Amino acid sequence: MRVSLEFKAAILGTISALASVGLAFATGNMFRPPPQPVPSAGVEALAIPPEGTPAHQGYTLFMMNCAHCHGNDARGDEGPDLHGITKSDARIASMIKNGIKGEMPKFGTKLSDTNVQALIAFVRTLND
Amino acid sequence: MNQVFWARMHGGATHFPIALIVVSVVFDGAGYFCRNEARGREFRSVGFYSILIAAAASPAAVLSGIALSNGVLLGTGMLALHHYFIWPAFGLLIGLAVWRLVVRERASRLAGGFYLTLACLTLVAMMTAGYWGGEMVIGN
Repeated sequence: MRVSLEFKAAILGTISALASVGLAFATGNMFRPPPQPVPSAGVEALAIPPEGTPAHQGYTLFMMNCAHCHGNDARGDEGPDLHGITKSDARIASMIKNGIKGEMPKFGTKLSDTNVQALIAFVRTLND
Repeated sequence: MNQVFWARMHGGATHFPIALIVVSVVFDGAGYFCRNEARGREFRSVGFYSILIAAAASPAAVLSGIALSNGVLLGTGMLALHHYFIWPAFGLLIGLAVWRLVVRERASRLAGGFYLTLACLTLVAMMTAGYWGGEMVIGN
């Protein structure tokens, strides 16, 4: 059976594509920080606020916009742990809207004041 | 090296392949539909070298992105949306470049059309990934 050059190239291309993505995934382990020891067996998963509350809206906004830096459990990853924050609402709102130069992007244009207040309401549910 | 360094590296490295894929698709499209065979070959030549350089440059973008996300390969929220599109786009880019490197100018019109369709899909996936990447970095 004669296989055309195009078909051979397609097989080679598919193998190369899979190998490249596989290699990239394997490289991920090199950049992954070593797992931190769990402080106690009782580290709870993030409690989801009741639906229909501003805090729940804040939770949804958090998972969409913030979790990739602050961690899915808001315990901190690239960004800091958000549990037990003692800053004022105005200060938190200012940080969300204006960001922190070189550390955190600003969300002032993307998020409305209502969204920011919802995020603050959610952050206030995060207690140590 | 901190995350700000990797953010800058990723921002710098990603735009090169994105721009070259755009150029490649535009010129390959022009080459595919051009009635003048000599000119069509010239257009396809630009498309060929563009996708080759885009594929060669893409590992830098991928590695800096992995370093930026601390090795998170999927994540959640916008990071996940970014990854849903970038991994297929990266695979397609490498696959298409290899196919093109092997076949060169010997592709049939049917295969060329199929290649062009996949290249357009790659471009759309890459741009969508770029959109979500920009949303994460700029935030507005």
